[in-house]
Amino acid sequence: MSHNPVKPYPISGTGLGLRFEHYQHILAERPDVPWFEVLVDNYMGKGGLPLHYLEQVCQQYPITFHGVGMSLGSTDPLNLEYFKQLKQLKQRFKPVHISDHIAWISVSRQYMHDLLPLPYTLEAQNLISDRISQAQEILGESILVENPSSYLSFSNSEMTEVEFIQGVLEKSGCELLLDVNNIYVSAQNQGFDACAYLDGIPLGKVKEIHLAGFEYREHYLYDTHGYEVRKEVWDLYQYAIKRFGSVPTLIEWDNDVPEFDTLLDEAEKANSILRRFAAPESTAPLRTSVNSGTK
Amino acid sequence: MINLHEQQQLFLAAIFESESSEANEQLSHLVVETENMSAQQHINIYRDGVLGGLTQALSDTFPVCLALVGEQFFNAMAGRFIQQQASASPDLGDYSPLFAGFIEQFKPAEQLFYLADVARLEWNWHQVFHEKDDAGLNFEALSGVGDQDVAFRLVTAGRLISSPWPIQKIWQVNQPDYQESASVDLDEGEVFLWIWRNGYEMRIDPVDVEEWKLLNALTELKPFSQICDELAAEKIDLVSLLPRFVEKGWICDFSVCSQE
Repeated sequence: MSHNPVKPYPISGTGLGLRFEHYQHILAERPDVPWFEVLVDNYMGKGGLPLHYLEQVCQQYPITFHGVGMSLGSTDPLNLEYFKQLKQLKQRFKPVHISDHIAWISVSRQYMHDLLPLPYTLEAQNLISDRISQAQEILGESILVENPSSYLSFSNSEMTEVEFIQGVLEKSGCELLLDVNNIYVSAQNQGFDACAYLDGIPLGKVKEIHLAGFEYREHYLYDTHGYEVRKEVWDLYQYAIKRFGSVPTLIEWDNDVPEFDTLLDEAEKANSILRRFAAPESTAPLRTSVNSGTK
Repeated sequence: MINLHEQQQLFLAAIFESESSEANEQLSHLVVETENMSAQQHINIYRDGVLGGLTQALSDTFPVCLALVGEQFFNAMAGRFIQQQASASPDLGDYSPLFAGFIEQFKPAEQLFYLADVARLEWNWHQVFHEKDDAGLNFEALSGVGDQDVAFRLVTAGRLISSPWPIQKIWQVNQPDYQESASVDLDEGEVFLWIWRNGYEMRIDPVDVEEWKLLNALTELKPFSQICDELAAEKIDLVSLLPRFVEKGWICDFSVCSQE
Protein backbone atom coordinates (compact mmCIF):
# COMPACT_ATOMS: atom_id res chain seq x y z
CA MET A 1 0.00 0.00 0.00
CA SER A 2 1.49 3.33 -0.99
CA HIS A 3 1.88 5.93 1.66
CA ASN A 4 1.88 9.53 0.56
CA PRO A 5 1.78 11.74 3.62
CA VAL A 6 0.77 15.36 3.15
CA LYS A 7 3.74 17.52 3.97
CA PRO A 8 2.84 19.61 7.01
CA TYR A 9 2.92 23.36 6.60
CA PRO A 10 6.29 24.57 7.89
CA ILE A 11 4.80 26.89 10.53
CA SER A 12 1.99 26.42 13.01
CA GLY A 13 0.67 28.00 16.17
CA THR A 14 0.76 31.71 16.91
CA GLY A 15 3.67 33.77 15.68
CA LEU A 16 4.56 37.37 16.42
CA GLY A 17 5.40 40.36 14.28
CA LEU A 18 9.14 41.01 14.48
CA ARG A 19 9.70 44.59 15.59
CA PHE A 20 12.95 46.48 15.97
CA GLU A 21 12.16 47.25 19.62
CA HIS A 22 12.33 43.55 20.51
CA TYR A 23 15.40 42.36 18.61
CA GLN A 24 17.77 42.40 21.53
CA HIS A 25 15.28 40.67 23.83
CA ILE A 26 14.60 37.96 21.25
CA LEU A 27 18.25 37.30 20.56
CA ALA A 28 19.22 37.31 24.23
CA GLU A 29 16.28 35.39 25.66
CA ARG A 30 15.24 33.20 22.72
CA PRO A 31 11.58 33.27 23.73
CA ASP A 32 9.35 30.33 22.94
CA VAL A 33 7.69 31.65 19.79
CA PRO A 34 7.04 29.28 16.86
CA TRP A 35 7.71 31.85 14.10
CA PHE A 36 8.07 35.55 13.39
CA GLU A 37 6.62 37.70 10.63
CA VAL A 38 8.96 40.26 9.09
CA LEU A 39 7.73 43.56 7.61
CA VAL A 40 9.87 43.06 4.55
CA ASP A 41 9.63 46.67 3.35
CA ASN A 42 11.70 47.69 6.38
CA TYR A 43 14.61 45.59 5.12
CA MET A 44 15.10 47.09 1.68
CA GLY A 45 18.31 48.82 2.76
CA LYS A 46 21.65 47.55 1.46
CA GLY A 47 23.05 46.59 4.87
CA GLY A 48 23.39 47.73 8.45
CA LEU A 49 21.89 46.71 11.75
CA PRO A 50 18.34 45.74 10.66
CA LEU A 51 19.60 43.12 8.21
CA HIS A 52 22.24 41.99 10.69
CA TYR A 53 19.61 41.39 13.37
CA LEU A 54 17.30 39.69 10.92
CA GLU A 55 20.08 37.34 9.90
CA GLN A 56 20.47 36.24 13.50
CA VAL A 57 16.74 35.81 14.12
CA CYS A 58 16.49 33.71 10.97
CA GLN A 59 19.07 31.31 12.31
CA GLN A 60 16.81 30.54 15.25
CA TYR A 61 13.22 30.93 14.05
CA PRO A 62 11.18 30.33 10.91
CA ILE A 63 10.05 33.62 9.40
CA THR A 64 7.45 34.86 6.94
CA PHE A 65 7.60 38.04 4.84
CA HIS A 66 4.74 40.51 4.88
CA GLY A 67 4.77 43.66 2.77
CA VAL A 68 2.81 46.48 1.20
CA GLY A 69 5.17 47.41 -1.62
CA MET A 70 3.90 45.12 -4.38
CA SER A 71 0.97 47.50 -4.97
CA LEU A 72 -0.90 44.55 -6.43
CA GLY A 73 -4.09 46.48 -7.22
CA SER A 74 -2.36 49.32 -9.06
CA THR A 75 -2.89 50.00 -12.76
CA ASP A 76 0.84 50.77 -13.11
CA PRO A 77 3.20 48.08 -14.40
CA LEU A 78 4.77 46.03 -11.60
CA ASN A 79 7.80 47.76 -10.11
CA LEU A 80 10.46 45.27 -11.17
CA GLU A 81 13.18 46.93 -9.11
CA TYR A 82 11.09 46.28 -5.98
CA PHE A 83 10.58 42.64 -6.95
CA LYS A 84 14.29 42.26 -7.62
CA GLN A 85 15.06 43.42 -4.09
CA LEU A 86 12.29 41.26 -2.67
CA LYS A 87 13.62 38.21 -4.47
CA GLN A 88 17.12 38.86 -3.16
CA LEU A 89 15.73 39.04 0.37
CA LYS A 90 13.77 35.86 -0.23
CA GLN A 91 16.89 34.04 -1.39
CA ARG A 92 18.89 35.28 1.57
CA PHE A 93 16.36 34.74 4.37
CA LYS A 94 14.20 31.93 2.95
CA PRO A 95 10.80 32.95 4.37
CA VAL A 96 8.15 30.24 4.67
CA HIS A 97 5.87 32.43 2.56
CA ILE A 98 5.47 35.99 1.26
CA SER A 99 2.32 38.03 1.58
CA ASP A 100 0.95 41.40 0.46
CA HIS A 101 -2.50 42.98 0.20
CA ILE A 102 -5.61 43.21 -1.93
CA ALA A 103 -5.07 46.93 -2.33
CA TRP A 104 -2.94 49.45 -4.18
CA ILE A 105 -0.45 52.00 -2.88
CA SER A 106 0.66 53.71 -6.08
CA VAL A 107 -0.54 55.04 -9.40
CA SER A 108 1.32 56.87 -12.15
CA ARG A 109 4.48 55.86 -10.25
CA GLN A 110 3.52 57.99 -7.29
CA TYR A 111 3.53 56.08 -4.02
CA MET A 112 1.13 56.87 -1.20
CA HIS A 113 2.44 54.19 1.17
CA ASP A 114 -1.02 53.40 2.48
CA LEU A 115 -3.34 50.59 1.49
CA LEU A 116 -5.98 52.08 -0.79
CA PRO A 117 -9.31 50.48 -1.72
CA LEU A 118 -10.30 48.91 -5.00
CA PRO A 119 -13.76 49.03 -6.54
CA TYR A 120 -14.98 45.44 -6.62
CA THR A 121 -15.38 45.25 -10.37
CA LEU A 122 -14.54 42.52 -12.85
CA GLU A 123 -11.91 44.82 -14.36
CA ALA A 124 -10.18 45.24 -10.97
CA GLN A 125 -10.50 41.52 -10.22
CA ASN A 126 -8.87 40.58 -13.53
CA LEU A 127 -6.16 43.19 -13.12
CA ILE A 128 -5.12 42.19 -9.61
CA SER A 129 -5.32 38.49 -10.48
CA ASP A 130 -3.00 39.04 -13.46
CA ARG A 131 -0.59 41.02 -11.35
CA ILE A 132 -0.57 38.40 -8.59
CA SER A 133 0.20 35.80 -11.26
CA GLN A 134 3.08 37.96 -12.52
CA ALA A 135 4.36 38.42 -8.96
CA GLN A 136 4.23 34.67 -8.38
CA GLU A 137 6.07 34.08 -11.66
CA ILE A 138 8.83 36.49 -10.66
CA LEU A 139 9.15 35.17 -7.12
CA GLY A 140 8.88 31.56 -8.19
CA GLU A 141 6.25 30.71 -5.58
CA SER A 142 2.63 31.15 -4.69
CA ILE A 143 2.00 34.22 -2.55
CA LEU A 144 -0.62 35.07 0.07
CA VAL A 145 -2.86 38.13 -0.27
CA GLU A 146 -4.57 39.81 2.67
CA ASN A 147 -8.13 41.10 2.78
CA PRO A 148 -8.10 44.85 3.48
CA SER A 149 -9.72 46.88 6.23
CA SER A 150 -11.99 49.31 4.43
CA TYR A 151 -13.36 52.73 5.22
CA LEU A 152 -15.44 53.28 2.12
CA SER A 153 -17.24 51.34 -0.57
CA PHE A 154 -17.45 52.39 -4.18
CA SER A 155 -20.80 52.82 -5.88
CA ASN A 156 -19.40 51.26 -9.06
CA SER A 157 -18.57 47.95 -7.33
CA GLU A 158 -20.19 45.01 -9.09
CA MET A 159 -19.74 42.36 -6.40
CA THR A 160 -19.11 41.94 -2.68
CA GLU A 161 -15.61 41.79 -1.23
CA VAL A 162 -15.93 38.06 -0.64
CA GLU A 163 -16.99 37.43 -4.24
CA PHE A 164 -14.07 39.58 -5.36
CA ILE A 165 -11.63 37.58 -3.24
CA GLN A 166 -13.09 34.23 -4.36
CA GLY A 167 -12.42 35.24 -7.97
CA VAL A 168 -8.90 36.45 -7.22
CA LEU A 169 -8.00 33.19 -5.47
CA GLU A 170 -9.39 31.17 -8.33
CA LYS A 171 -7.88 33.20 -11.18
CA SER A 172 -4.41 33.71 -9.72
CA GLY A 173 -3.99 30.50 -7.73
CA CYS A 174 -2.70 32.50 -4.77
CA GLU A 175 -3.50 31.77 -1.12
CA LEU A 176 -5.26 33.92 1.44
CA LEU A 177 -3.93 35.72 4.48
CA LEU A 178 -7.15 36.17 6.38
CA ASP A 179 -7.07 39.24 8.61
CA VAL A 180 -9.90 38.65 11.07
CA ASN A 181 -9.51 42.11 12.59
CA ASN A 182 -9.86 43.66 9.13
CA ILE A 183 -13.04 41.68 8.53
CA TYR A 184 -14.53 42.92 11.79
CA VAL A 185 -13.50 46.54 11.11
CA SER A 186 -14.83 46.48 7.54
CA ALA A 187 -18.04 44.70 8.58
CA GLN A 188 -18.75 47.39 11.17
CA ASN A 189 -17.80 50.21 8.82
CA GLN A 190 -19.64 48.87 5.79
CA GLY A 191 -22.49 47.10 7.54
CA PHE A 192 -22.04 43.50 6.42
CA ASP A 193 -22.19 40.22 8.33
CA ALA A 194 -18.65 39.17 9.31
CA CYS A 195 -19.61 35.50 9.85
CA ALA A 196 -21.27 35.31 6.44
CA TYR A 197 -18.03 36.75 5.00
CA LEU A 198 -16.04 33.95 6.63
CA ASP A 199 -18.54 31.37 5.34
CA GLY A 200 -17.81 32.62 1.82
CA ILE A 201 -14.06 32.06 2.04
CA PRO A 202 -13.15 28.73 0.43
CA LEU A 203 -11.71 26.04 2.69
CA GLY A 204 -8.08 25.12 2.16
CA LYS A 205 -6.99 28.53 0.89
CA VAL A 206 -6.32 30.26 4.22
CA LYS A 207 -2.63 29.84 5.04
CA GLU A 208 -2.31 32.48 7.73
CA ILE A 209 -4.55 34.56 9.98
CA HIS A 210 -3.80 38.04 11.29
CA LEU A 211 -5.09 39.41 14.59
CA ALA A 212 -4.64 43.01 15.71
CA GLY A 213 -6.26 45.74 17.76
CA PHE A 214 -8.46 48.41 16.20
CA GLU A 215 -9.33 51.86 17.47
CA TYR A 216 -12.80 53.27 18.09
CA ARG A 217 -13.26 56.60 16.29
CA GLU A 218 -16.32 58.80 16.24
CA HIS A 219 -18.26 57.12 13.45
CA TYR A 220 -16.08 54.21 12.46
CA LEU A 221 -13.45 51.70 13.52
CA TYR A 222 -9.84 52.19 12.45
CA ASP A 223 -7.27 49.45 12.05
CA THR A 224 -4.31 50.93 13.94
CA HIS A 225 -2.47 47.79 15.09
CA GLY A 226 -1.84 49.65 18.30
CA TYR A 227 -3.99 47.82 20.84
CA GLU A 228 -4.74 44.41 22.25
CA VAL A 229 -7.05 42.29 20.15
CA ARG A 230 -10.64 43.26 21.00
CA LYS A 231 -13.14 40.76 22.41
CA GLU A 232 -15.33 40.99 19.31
CA VAL A 233 -12.35 39.99 17.18
CA TRP A 234 -11.47 37.08 19.47
CA ASP A 235 -15.05 35.85 19.03
CA LEU A 236 -14.78 36.12 15.27
CA TYR A 237 -11.40 34.39 15.35
CA GLN A 238 -12.97 31.50 17.24
CA TYR A 239 -15.59 31.26 14.50
CA ALA A 240 -12.84 31.33 11.84
CA ILE A 241 -10.81 28.60 13.55
CA LYS A 242 -13.85 26.35 13.79
CA ARG A 243 -14.25 26.75 10.03
CA PHE A 244 -10.66 26.76 8.78
CA GLY A 245 -8.91 24.62 11.39
CA SER A 246 -5.53 25.25 12.95
CA VAL A 247 -4.24 27.99 10.69
CA PRO A 248 -0.94 29.71 11.65
CA THR A 249 -1.94 32.92 13.36
CA LEU A 250 -0.08 36.18 13.85
CA ILE A 251 -0.38 38.86 16.50
CA GLU A 252 0.27 42.18 14.72
CA TRP A 253 1.20 45.20 16.80
CA ASP A 254 2.89 48.04 14.93
CA ASN A 255 2.13 51.26 16.81
CA ASP A 256 2.92 51.95 20.45
CA VAL A 257 4.65 48.58 20.46
CA PRO A 258 4.34 47.09 23.98
CA GLU A 259 6.68 44.95 26.05
CA PHE A 260 7.39 41.57 24.53
CA ASP A 261 5.50 39.77 27.30
CA THR A 262 2.28 41.54 26.30
CA LEU A 263 2.63 40.03 22.84
CA LEU A 264 3.26 36.61 24.37
CA ASP A 265 0.07 36.98 26.40
CA GLU A 266 -1.88 37.78 23.23
CA ALA A 267 -0.31 34.81 21.48
CA GLU A 268 -1.32 32.53 24.32
CA LYS A 269 -4.94 33.65 23.97
CA ALA A 270 -4.81 32.73 20.29
CA ASN A 271 -3.13 29.40 21.03
CA SER A 272 -5.82 28.60 23.55
CA ILE A 273 -8.50 29.12 20.89
CA LEU A 274 -6.50 27.08 18.38
CA ARG A 275 -6.29 24.20 20.87
CA ARG A 276 -9.95 24.33 21.80
CA PHE A 277 -11.70 25.04 18.53
CA ALA A 278 -9.64 23.79 15.60
CA ALA A 279 -11.52 20.93 13.93
CA PRO A 280 -9.76 17.63 14.73
CA GLU A 281 -9.20 16.65 11.10
CA SER A 282 -7.40 19.88 10.33
CA THR A 283 -5.55 20.23 13.58
CA ALA A 284 -1.80 19.83 13.45
CA PRO A 285 -0.10 19.72 16.84
CA LEU A 286 0.88 23.22 17.88
CA ARG A 287 4.59 23.49 17.86
CA THR A 288 6.05 24.83 21.03
CA SER A 289 9.70 24.24 20.34
CA VAL A 290 11.45 27.14 18.62
CA ASN A 291 14.15 25.19 16.84
CA SER A 292 12.14 22.64 14.95
CA GLY A 293 14.20 22.87 11.83
CA THR A 294 12.02 24.28 9.13
CA LYS A 295 14.83 26.17 7.42
CA MET B 1 -18.09 54.91 -17.20
CA ILE B 2 -14.80 55.50 -15.39
CA ASN B 3 -12.11 52.83 -15.78
CA LEU B 4 -9.86 51.62 -12.97
CA HIS B 5 -6.84 53.69 -13.97
CA GLU B 6 -8.92 56.86 -14.13
CA GLN B 7 -10.46 56.04 -10.77
CA GLN B 8 -7.05 55.56 -9.17
CA GLN B 9 -5.76 58.82 -10.65
CA LEU B 10 -8.86 60.56 -9.32
CA PHE B 11 -8.23 59.04 -5.89
CA LEU B 12 -4.62 60.24 -5.98
CA ALA B 13 -5.71 63.77 -6.86
CA ALA B 14 -8.40 63.75 -4.18
CA ILE B 15 -5.86 62.74 -1.53
CA PHE B 16 -3.44 65.55 -2.32
CA GLU B 17 -5.92 68.29 -3.25
CA SER B 18 -8.25 70.21 -0.97
CA GLU B 19 -11.70 68.94 -0.03
CA SER B 20 -13.27 71.58 -2.24
CA SER B 21 -11.33 70.42 -5.32
CA GLU B 22 -12.99 69.02 -8.40
CA ALA B 23 -11.23 65.69 -7.80
CA ASN B 24 -12.91 65.33 -4.41
CA GLU B 25 -16.25 66.36 -5.88
CA GLN B 26 -15.93 63.71 -8.62
CA LEU B 27 -14.66 60.99 -6.31
CA SER B 28 -17.51 61.66 -3.85
CA HIS B 29 -19.96 60.59 -6.56
CA LEU B 30 -18.24 57.20 -6.62
CA VAL B 31 -18.28 56.66 -2.85
CA VAL B 32 -21.29 55.33 -0.96
CA GLU B 33 -22.54 57.53 1.88
CA THR B 34 -23.34 55.75 5.13
CA GLU B 35 -25.77 56.61 7.88
CA ASN B 36 -23.33 58.71 9.86
CA MET B 37 -20.76 59.73 7.30
CA SER B 38 -20.74 61.61 4.02
CA ALA B 39 -18.80 60.34 1.02
CA GLN B 40 -16.20 63.07 1.64
CA GLN B 41 -15.73 61.94 5.25
CA HIS B 42 -15.03 58.43 4.01
CA ILE B 43 -12.43 59.78 1.57
CA ASN B 44 -10.88 61.87 4.33
CA ILE B 45 -10.03 58.75 6.33
CA TYR B 46 -7.73 57.71 3.50
CA ARG B 47 -6.38 61.24 3.04
CA ASP B 48 -5.48 61.40 6.73
CA GLY B 49 -3.89 57.95 6.52
CA VAL B 50 -1.70 58.83 3.52
CA LEU B 51 -0.65 62.29 4.70
CA GLY B 52 -0.19 61.05 8.26
CA GLY B 53 1.97 58.16 7.08
CA LEU B 54 4.23 60.39 4.99
CA THR B 55 4.52 62.93 7.84
CA GLN B 56 5.43 60.09 10.21
CA ALA B 57 8.11 58.91 7.78
CA LEU B 58 9.66 62.38 7.78
CA SER B 59 9.43 62.58 11.60
CA ASP B 60 11.19 59.22 11.87
CA THR B 61 14.02 60.31 9.56
CA PHE B 62 14.40 63.85 10.94
CA PRO B 63 13.81 63.52 14.71
CA VAL B 64 16.23 66.33 15.59
CA CYS B 65 14.54 68.76 13.19
CA LEU B 66 11.27 67.75 14.82
CA ALA B 67 12.70 68.40 18.30
CA LEU B 68 14.05 71.79 17.20
CA VAL B 69 10.81 73.18 15.76
CA GLY B 70 8.16 71.24 17.70
CA GLU B 71 5.49 68.92 16.38
CA GLN B 72 3.04 71.54 15.17
CA PHE B 73 5.59 73.46 13.10
CA PHE B 74 7.19 70.26 11.81
CA ASN B 75 3.87 68.79 10.72
CA ALA B 76 2.95 72.00 8.89
CA MET B 77 6.35 72.08 7.18
CA ALA B 78 6.12 68.37 6.32
CA GLY B 79 2.60 68.93 4.99
CA ARG B 80 3.82 71.58 2.56
CA PHE B 81 6.69 69.34 1.45
CA ILE B 82 4.36 66.39 0.91
CA GLN B 83 2.07 68.52 -1.27
CA GLN B 84 4.90 69.36 -3.64
CA GLN B 85 7.07 66.24 -3.47
CA ALA B 86 5.69 62.92 -4.64
CA SER B 87 7.16 59.67 -3.33
CA ALA B 88 8.60 57.77 -6.27
CA SER B 89 9.67 54.57 -4.49
CA PRO B 90 7.84 51.82 -2.63
CA ASP B 91 10.57 52.13 0.02
CA LEU B 92 9.34 54.78 2.45
CA GLY B 93 12.95 55.14 3.58
CA ASP B 94 13.69 56.77 0.22
CA TYR B 95 11.14 59.52 0.82
CA SER B 96 13.10 62.53 2.00
CA PRO B 97 16.38 63.24 0.20
CA LEU B 98 14.96 66.58 -0.93
CA PHE B 99 13.59 67.62 2.47
CA ALA B 100 16.70 69.60 3.48
CA GLY B 101 16.61 71.57 0.23
CA PHE B 102 12.93 72.26 0.82
CA ILE B 103 13.62 73.52 4.36
CA GLU B 104 16.23 75.91 2.97
CA GLN B 105 13.53 77.53 0.84
CA PHE B 106 10.77 77.31 3.47
CA LYS B 107 10.16 80.94 4.48
CA PRO B 108 8.62 80.29 7.92
CA ALA B 109 11.86 78.49 8.91
CA GLU B 110 14.29 81.09 7.58
CA GLN B 111 15.25 82.33 11.04
CA LEU B 112 16.40 78.81 11.89
CA PHE B 113 19.22 79.22 9.39
CA TYR B 114 20.96 76.01 10.58
CA LEU B 115 17.85 73.80 10.23
CA ALA B 116 18.49 72.74 6.61
CA ASP B 117 22.02 71.63 7.49
CA VAL B 118 20.73 69.67 10.48
CA ALA B 119 18.29 67.98 8.09
CA ARG B 120 21.20 67.16 5.76
CA LEU B 121 23.06 65.60 8.64
CA GLU B 122 20.04 63.51 9.57
CA TRP B 123 19.48 62.36 5.98
CA ASN B 124 23.13 61.33 5.68
CA TRP B 125 22.88 59.54 9.03
CA HIS B 126 19.83 57.66 7.74
CA GLN B 127 21.65 56.65 4.54
CA VAL B 128 24.72 55.47 6.42
CA PHE B 129 22.58 53.43 8.82
CA HIS B 130 21.12 51.43 5.92
CA GLU B 131 24.22 51.39 3.70
CA LYS B 132 26.01 48.28 2.51
CA ASP B 133 28.31 46.42 4.90
CA ASP B 134 31.97 46.23 3.97
CA ALA B 135 34.52 43.58 4.71
CA GLY B 136 37.59 45.05 6.42
CA LEU B 137 40.73 46.09 4.56
CA ASN B 138 42.76 43.13 3.35
CA PHE B 139 46.18 43.99 4.80
CA GLU B 140 47.82 40.89 3.41
CA ALA B 141 46.79 41.79 -0.14
CA LEU B 142 47.86 45.39 0.42
CA SER B 143 51.30 44.34 1.57
CA GLY B 144 51.69 42.39 -1.66
CA VAL B 145 51.10 45.43 -3.85
CA GLY B 146 54.73 46.54 -3.72
CA ASP B 147 55.50 49.67 -5.75
CA GLN B 148 52.29 49.64 -7.75
CA ASP B 149 49.97 52.62 -7.52
CA VAL B 150 46.65 51.96 -5.81
CA ALA B 151 43.30 53.70 -5.39
CA PHE B 152 41.94 53.44 -1.85
CA ARG B 153 38.24 53.21 -1.18
CA LEU B 154 36.50 54.65 1.86
CA VAL B 155 33.91 52.58 3.70
CA THR B 156 30.67 52.47 1.72
CA ALA B 157 28.73 53.45 4.84
CA GLY B 158 30.32 56.89 5.07
CA ARG B 159 29.22 60.41 4.09
CA LEU B 160 30.91 63.81 4.27
CA ILE B 161 29.08 66.94 5.25
CA SER B 162 30.22 70.44 6.19
CA SER B 163 28.31 73.38 7.62
CA PRO B 164 28.98 76.90 8.82
CA TRP B 165 26.97 75.96 11.94
CA PRO B 166 27.76 73.55 14.79
CA ILE B 167 25.28 70.98 13.54
CA GLN B 168 26.92 68.06 15.28
CA LYS B 169 26.53 69.79 18.65
CA ILE B 170 22.93 70.66 17.80
CA TRP B 171 22.33 67.02 16.87
CA GLN B 172 24.02 65.76 20.01
CA VAL B 173 22.11 67.90 22.53
CA ASN B 174 18.84 66.83 20.93
CA GLN B 175 19.41 63.12 21.42
CA PRO B 176 16.93 61.54 23.87
CA ASP B 177 19.68 60.29 26.19
CA TYR B 178 21.70 63.56 26.28
CA GLN B 179 22.21 64.67 29.90
CA GLU B 180 24.55 67.67 29.83
CA SER B 181 23.99 71.35 29.12
CA ALA B 182 21.79 71.85 26.09
CA SER B 183 23.21 75.24 25.16
CA VAL B 184 24.99 75.56 21.82
CA ASP B 185 27.11 78.49 20.72
CA LEU B 186 26.09 79.10 17.12
CA ASP B 187 29.28 81.09 16.53
CA GLU B 188 31.56 78.11 17.21
CA GLY B 189 32.56 78.14 13.56
CA GLU B 190 32.22 75.80 10.61
CA VAL B 191 32.32 72.04 11.02
CA PHE B 192 33.54 69.23 8.78
CA LEU B 193 31.90 65.93 9.60
CA TRP B 194 32.50 62.34 8.57
CA ILE B 195 29.36 60.33 9.24
CA TRP B 196 30.20 56.67 9.04
CA ARG B 197 29.50 53.23 10.43
CA ASN B 198 32.16 51.32 12.31
CA GLY B 199 30.67 47.86 11.86
CA TYR B 200 27.16 48.54 13.14
CA GLU B 201 28.10 51.45 15.39
CA MET B 202 26.98 54.82 14.01
CA ARG B 203 29.54 57.61 14.33
CA ILE B 204 29.63 61.32 13.54
CA ASP B 205 33.31 62.26 13.68
CA PRO B 206 34.43 65.89 13.36
CA VAL B 207 37.50 65.99 11.11
CA ASP B 208 40.14 68.68 10.61
CA VAL B 209 40.79 70.43 7.30
CA GLU B 210 43.58 68.04 6.26
CA GLU B 211 41.46 64.98 6.97
CA TRP B 212 38.55 66.59 5.16
CA LYS B 213 40.63 67.16 2.05
CA LEU B 214 41.96 63.63 2.00
CA LEU B 215 38.51 62.16 2.62
CA ASN B 216 37.14 64.18 -0.30
CA ALA B 217 40.01 63.14 -2.54
CA LEU B 218 39.46 59.49 -1.65
CA THR B 219 35.76 59.66 -2.54
CA GLU B 220 36.87 60.33 -6.12
CA LEU B 221 38.82 57.03 -6.22
CA LYS B 222 41.86 58.72 -7.71
CA PRO B 223 45.23 56.92 -7.85
CA PHE B 224 47.01 57.55 -4.58
CA SER B 225 50.03 59.03 -6.35
CA GLN B 226 47.79 61.68 -7.85
CA ILE B 227 46.26 62.47 -4.47
CA CYS B 228 49.78 62.77 -3.03
CA ASP B 229 50.75 65.27 -5.74
CA GLU B 230 47.61 67.32 -5.28
CA LEU B 231 47.75 67.44 -1.49
CA ALA B 232 51.52 67.97 -1.36
CA ALA B 233 50.89 71.28 -3.10
CA GLU B 234 48.76 72.15 -0.09
CA LYS B 235 51.49 70.94 2.27
CA ILE B 236 49.38 68.08 3.62
CA ASP B 237 51.46 65.26 5.04
CA LEU B 238 49.94 62.00 3.87
CA VAL B 239 52.66 59.89 5.48
CA SER B 240 51.07 60.39 8.86
CA LEU B 241 47.50 60.92 7.66
CA LEU B 242 46.94 57.74 5.67
CA PRO B 243 47.93 55.27 8.43
CA ARG B 244 45.55 57.11 10.76
CA PHE B 245 42.72 56.59 8.26
CA VAL B 246 43.55 52.91 8.02
CA GLU B 247 43.75 52.54 11.79
CA LYS B 248 40.36 54.17 12.28
CA GLY B 249 38.78 51.80 9.79
CA TRP B 250 37.82 54.52 7.33
CA ILE B 251 39.46 52.74 4.40
CA CYS B 252 37.93 49.40 3.54
CA ASP B 253 39.38 48.44 0.18
CA PHE B 254 41.82 49.30 -2.58
CA SER B 255 42.39 48.51 -6.22
CA VAL B 256 45.66 48.40 -8.12
CA CYS B 257 45.80 51.11 -10.80
CA SER B 258 46.64 49.99 -14.28
CA GLN B 259 50.08 51.07 -15.48
CA GLU B 260 49.85 53.36 -18.52
